[in-house]
Amino acid sequence: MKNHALNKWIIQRVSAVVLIPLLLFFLYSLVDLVNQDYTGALDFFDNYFSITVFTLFLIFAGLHLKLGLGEIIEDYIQDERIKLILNKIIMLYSAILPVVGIVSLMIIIL
Amino acid sequence: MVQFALPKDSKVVEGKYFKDKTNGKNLKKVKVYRWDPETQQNPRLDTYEVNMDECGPMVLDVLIKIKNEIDTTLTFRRSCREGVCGSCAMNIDGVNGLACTKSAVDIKNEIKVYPLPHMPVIKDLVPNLNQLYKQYQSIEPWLQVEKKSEVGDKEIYQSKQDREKLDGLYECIMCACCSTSCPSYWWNGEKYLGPAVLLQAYRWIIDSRDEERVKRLKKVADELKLFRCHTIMNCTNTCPKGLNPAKAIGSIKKMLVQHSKDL
Repeated sequence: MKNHALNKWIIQRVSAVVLIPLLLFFLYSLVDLVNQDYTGALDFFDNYFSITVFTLFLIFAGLHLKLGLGEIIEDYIQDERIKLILNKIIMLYSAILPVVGIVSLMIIIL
Repeated sequence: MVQFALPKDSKVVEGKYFKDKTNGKNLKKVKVYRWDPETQQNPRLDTYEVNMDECGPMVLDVLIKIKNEIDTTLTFRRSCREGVCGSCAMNIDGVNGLACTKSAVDIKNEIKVYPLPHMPVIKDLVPNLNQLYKQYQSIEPWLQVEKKSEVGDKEIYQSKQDREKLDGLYECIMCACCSTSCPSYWWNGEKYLGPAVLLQAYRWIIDSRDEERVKRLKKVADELKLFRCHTIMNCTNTCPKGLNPAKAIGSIKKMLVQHSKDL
């Protein structure tokens, strides 16, 4: 597919759908982890399923965040320079967030 | 940056009050937006008392009565008086619609009439729709075929099923009620085509007789021209002809996915 706008639109929809089960799993885990102590939390992440789902959640959430905020910037900011700067900040923020999350997970399990 | 507050000279102030002189019993207060570019004054909201016993039932009847009998300076567009031409599109009681098909009797309390929102005003209830017409022109709203027609040629065949695909699209009268009710069109009216023009674009994209489907799709497949639509649905809600521009926009997006390899 060559059309950038269409690609963006498709990725935004697909990431939204993929995030539904991932978000449900995240919320379920969050509620579960609140009642656990540190070793319980370590046990929870000590399996490939939890790690994989959490990693996917962080990647898709970052991607969806970037696209969604980009849409808001496109809608409301008309100055091209400000738009460019804000888009760079959003890109950085939505990349740092999942990277920090994934690195933290790696530190926990290693 | 989007301007959220109105400039000082755009603030609407209280205007003149025209009392009923016919001693009518069934009076209706009608507040009408007034602005005259020649006076350099702020827009105002004039109030007219209209005797509904001597007036037709529609908002356009009320406006015509005001113009004919109370205040001849009131300016508005009107033509067919039966919801076909779209000339009398305006914001009535907070909703965009056609003054000729909107019942004045059904509106409780006073009637507030403004021009179509977020469009430059030429005078009173007359908006400047040049931008919309330019955008309409940009989608090339005419049948495009490769073969030049000659005298004696037969008409291009269209099956009943293909013709049915145009239902809900060809009825659009380009009154601009939908586009001027769309927040995306308010913010990005210069770049986003808006629901009215996109519905028209889809009308030609889906026409089985047209041979430029891919070219038309390529033309609208743009981040600003098409993808500013966020399915707010104001367009569908306000359309005085009961059409569904949001569905047409969704159908264009679906067709873009189907033809993604050609784009």
